[in-house]
Amino acid sequence: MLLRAIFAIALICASFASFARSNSLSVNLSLADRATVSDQEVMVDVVFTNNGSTPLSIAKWFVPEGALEGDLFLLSRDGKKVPYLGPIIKRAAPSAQDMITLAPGESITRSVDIAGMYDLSASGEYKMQYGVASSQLLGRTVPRQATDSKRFAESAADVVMESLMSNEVATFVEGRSNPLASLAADKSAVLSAKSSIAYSGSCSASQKSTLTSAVAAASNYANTSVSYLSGISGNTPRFTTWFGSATSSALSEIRTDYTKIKDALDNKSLVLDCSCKQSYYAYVYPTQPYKVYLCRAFWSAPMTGTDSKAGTLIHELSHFNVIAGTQDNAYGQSAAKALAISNPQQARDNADSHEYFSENTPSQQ
Amino acid sequence: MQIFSFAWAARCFCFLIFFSYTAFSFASSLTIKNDLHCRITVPATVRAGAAVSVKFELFNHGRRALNVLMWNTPIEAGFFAPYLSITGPDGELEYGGAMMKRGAPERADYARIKPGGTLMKTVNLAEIYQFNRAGRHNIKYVGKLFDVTTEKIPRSLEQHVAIALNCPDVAFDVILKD
Repeated sequence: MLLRAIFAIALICASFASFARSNSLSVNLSLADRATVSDQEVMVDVVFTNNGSTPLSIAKWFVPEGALEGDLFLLSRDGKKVPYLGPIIKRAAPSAQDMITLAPGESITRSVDIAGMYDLSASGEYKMQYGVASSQLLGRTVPRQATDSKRFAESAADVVMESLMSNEVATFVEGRSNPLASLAADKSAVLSAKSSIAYSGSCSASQKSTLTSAVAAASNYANTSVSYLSGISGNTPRFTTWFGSATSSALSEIRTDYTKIKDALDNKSLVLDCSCKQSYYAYVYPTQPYKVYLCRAFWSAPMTGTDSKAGTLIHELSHFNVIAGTQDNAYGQSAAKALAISNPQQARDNADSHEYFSENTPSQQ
Repeated sequence: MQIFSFAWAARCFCFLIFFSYTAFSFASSLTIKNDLHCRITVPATVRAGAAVSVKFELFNHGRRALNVLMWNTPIEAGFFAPYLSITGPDGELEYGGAMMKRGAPERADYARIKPGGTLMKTVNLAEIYQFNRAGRHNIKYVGKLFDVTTEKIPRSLEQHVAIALNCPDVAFDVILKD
């Protein structure tokens, strides 16, 4: 009986201690826009601050970055909970690399698009709060007494739920089609019955509509490239500018490349990812067809023409080993033109050369 | 005589300027190439499935600070180009990293190496190559540096002066777990 009482007191003390620690970590939520229309992102800024006097660690999956990978927010509309639609990832206990450490007084700020991950199909005032509770929230940066560390680790008292809540903010959100539920609808919206587009990395509604147009424009580029190549049998300004002399083997190599690019756009399942925040255009893993990661320069590029959205998709598709396995031997129009003269073989293996041939800007015969 | 007119003098002058500028940039890129040295270091043996920690170093042996565009080197964070060719007992290993279409570089894409200075980074090649066959593996740097300059950065793609980088090949043995 006495033992049980001691255990209970220990448990209370342990929860208290952890409460005190999590209390020195505060979270503040703020909204970028007071109201959002249906094709707009719902951006919130989340600021984590260590108000204590010792360093604090938090498992990184509770600090959202780019795409949400867990239900980290409490959303309600008219007093009703709004369901979370995003992925929920099963985690092992966090290891040292999984922790983000905040020095005393340090803050980190993250911007998150709520729209992709919660059901915002109805218009109305949405109340939002960051709120998580987990036994793995905070790292054990506070060293325990050496004598009881082992026992502590094994006792039930170690499994303490720690919680972290922010202030509540409210905003008017215009209802929008639920992106995850409409994934099936998106698939049918594309060009041909066999192909499909899926999105990952929290693409906003406007990004998705841009990507649908970009895929259609890329498909048009692929079709016109294939038909152009089938209509020539030797040197033309357009071919030689980008690929050097049109020998029969060079022609057949490039024809094969574009036939495969066209096939991917017509028949394969593309996955387009919006999570990249780097200044570049886009990237792929050549071993992982047909997923393309779009970065910042992509979004500001024109839809068609030199270094356009459509052309970038041609460039990226050409990289896949199952398509042409192209390299990045030269970047930019002038370097690509120079390569066609100095090393036509490398030009035929160059992703930008494929892109510029398709874009054909300025136009050549 | 017409040939000594002002217009002709101006043309000759322009040509001289252009010629000396071209010669100078060519000589300058040659010296930069001689100033930059590269070294790759690997452990002698690595267990299959373990990390393959490779140290990559760029030395500036010249007298001027160099701004090096970090694309095509392990110095930049992440693997965005297959600038290494790794050959094992079954031939060349498949590159599992990414390929990036770049736009104009930003300042942060460059690293500055002071005269006598070094840029160094250790990366784990097991993140992008599968080392699951026992035996000798050879690492060859097959990339190029897209832009190295003593001038103001960033520079647009058109201004870039690419430089071949000669890193001596290194080899190591992959052993299976015992």
